[in-house]
Amino acid sequence: MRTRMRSAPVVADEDERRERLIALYRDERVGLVRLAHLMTGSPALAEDIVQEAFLRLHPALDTVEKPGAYLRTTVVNLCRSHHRREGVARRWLERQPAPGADLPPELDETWRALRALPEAQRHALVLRFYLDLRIADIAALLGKPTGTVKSTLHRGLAALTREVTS
Amino acid sequence: MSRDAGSDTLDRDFPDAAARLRATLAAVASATAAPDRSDELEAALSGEMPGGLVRLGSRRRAPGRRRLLAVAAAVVVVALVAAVLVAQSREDAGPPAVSTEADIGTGWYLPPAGWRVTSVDTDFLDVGEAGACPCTTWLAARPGSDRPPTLVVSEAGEPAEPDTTGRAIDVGGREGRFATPFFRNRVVTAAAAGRQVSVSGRKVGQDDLVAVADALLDQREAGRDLDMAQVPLPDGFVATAPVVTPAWLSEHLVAVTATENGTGRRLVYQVVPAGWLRGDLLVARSIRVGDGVATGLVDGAAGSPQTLYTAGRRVDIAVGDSPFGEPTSTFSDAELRRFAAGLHEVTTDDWRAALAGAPGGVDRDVRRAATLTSPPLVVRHPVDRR
Repeated sequence: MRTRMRSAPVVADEDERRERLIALYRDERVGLVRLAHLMTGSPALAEDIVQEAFLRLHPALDTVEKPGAYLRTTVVNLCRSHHRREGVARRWLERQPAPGADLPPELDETWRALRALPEAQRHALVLRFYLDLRIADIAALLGKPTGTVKSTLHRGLAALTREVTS
Repeated sequence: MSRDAGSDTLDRDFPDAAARLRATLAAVASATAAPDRSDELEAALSGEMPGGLVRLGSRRRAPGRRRLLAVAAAVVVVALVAAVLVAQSREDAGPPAVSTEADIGTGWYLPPAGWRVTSVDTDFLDVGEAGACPCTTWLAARPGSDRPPTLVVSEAGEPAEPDTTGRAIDVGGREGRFATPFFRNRVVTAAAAGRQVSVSGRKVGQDDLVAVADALLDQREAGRDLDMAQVPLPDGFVATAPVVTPAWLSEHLVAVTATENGTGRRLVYQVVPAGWLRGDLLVARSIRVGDGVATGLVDGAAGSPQTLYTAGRRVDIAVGDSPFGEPTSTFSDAELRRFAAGLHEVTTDDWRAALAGAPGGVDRDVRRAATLTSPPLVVRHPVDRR
């Protein structure tokens, strides 16, 4: 899922660009924070990632044809790359119990099991079962072959099944 | 979007899990608060406050939302320090680093004799800020085993937005910033001639950080090549060779799972384009530096196995724990060092031959890439293509 750039950018006034960005933020923020929360398991981090995504969009706003798709791709990439950039300390934090939503027990059990999955499986499952993306779209978004995505999803669901039935 | 054949198979094979997962994701998403922080976004766009995440070179921190994280980070520090005290006596005198006998240039490393590759996976890495590179990094440390004093130095393009983290300080007559972010490390940042130097340190005083930043900026302003040998490092410090990142690239780490013949023990080693793992050495329990290369043992978090990092060469390597949280066996310091010393770089043909015999999954991009730093594992970032 690549976001195309226009070849001849239209240069907008800076104030107008900021207004457009803030309007876009108000429209897209909730969905993006939810997605980032599901992918990272951390609501606070999700908010920061979404802020960062909008900051990154800002200089490219005039050249991006589909800002919504660009933002979603950026959020997914930040959720994935964040794991490496923050290093050991963050990984330790991510393994700690989640400040969970107030969920029914069986859903809470599934949420905890999902957060404990390897990152690649968790991300693929969220994209498939939350965003309802097709496997080909997930593969394009993650830069993985469709076969890898299929096997990752399969392994993830198998692991979830083991966890919640054990 | 409509379902596709692959997903129908998933729903058929795991009907209960799929249904429960959908319900869980919907419930968690609905319960996720997403407060309107547009005022912070506007302030960041105006340069009045930093943005959302810490970025390469700029050391920016997010605002107040990070307070909880800072508290948690302090807990991490305490936990790691406790682990250090327990583990210090285990330091050994094994081989210093990954073998350099065959410097082939592919970035593909195979395990030592007695081990076989069982699977290979990748993870995406994103440098972060357009225009930051070309950039150069070094690691310097006073070698030792008691969480030794350590520096990570980076020199990169000056960010478009001014760095407002921490407090203003003087860096050789230039305005700089001093901050104490994650892990209580200290950071001095200053810019000159369109370039920014950031010096992060553990157990290193502010004056020493400033001296390093000042010396590098002097070199840059004088139009000289950067030379760490001319920088006044604290007493006893030894620096690695510089790692130069030429452009803003999206790269991948490659994680190889190896299995020991006979015992069946599993270990993961990561090969990563140079520069990515240096930051992890800031939390190392012990560090050695020699021949431009640093190796350090980092304790595993929450009871997971320890990892031996090697940085300063063309490829960073980590041996031990899985970056994906997959279960691995636990190895002693000496075992990790022996394994790392036995890693050897091979040609693309030899690498592909080894992958062909791997019983587990091998990422298709890894099969296709000629080297660790070739497409499709490395691509220029879309925004940088304009």
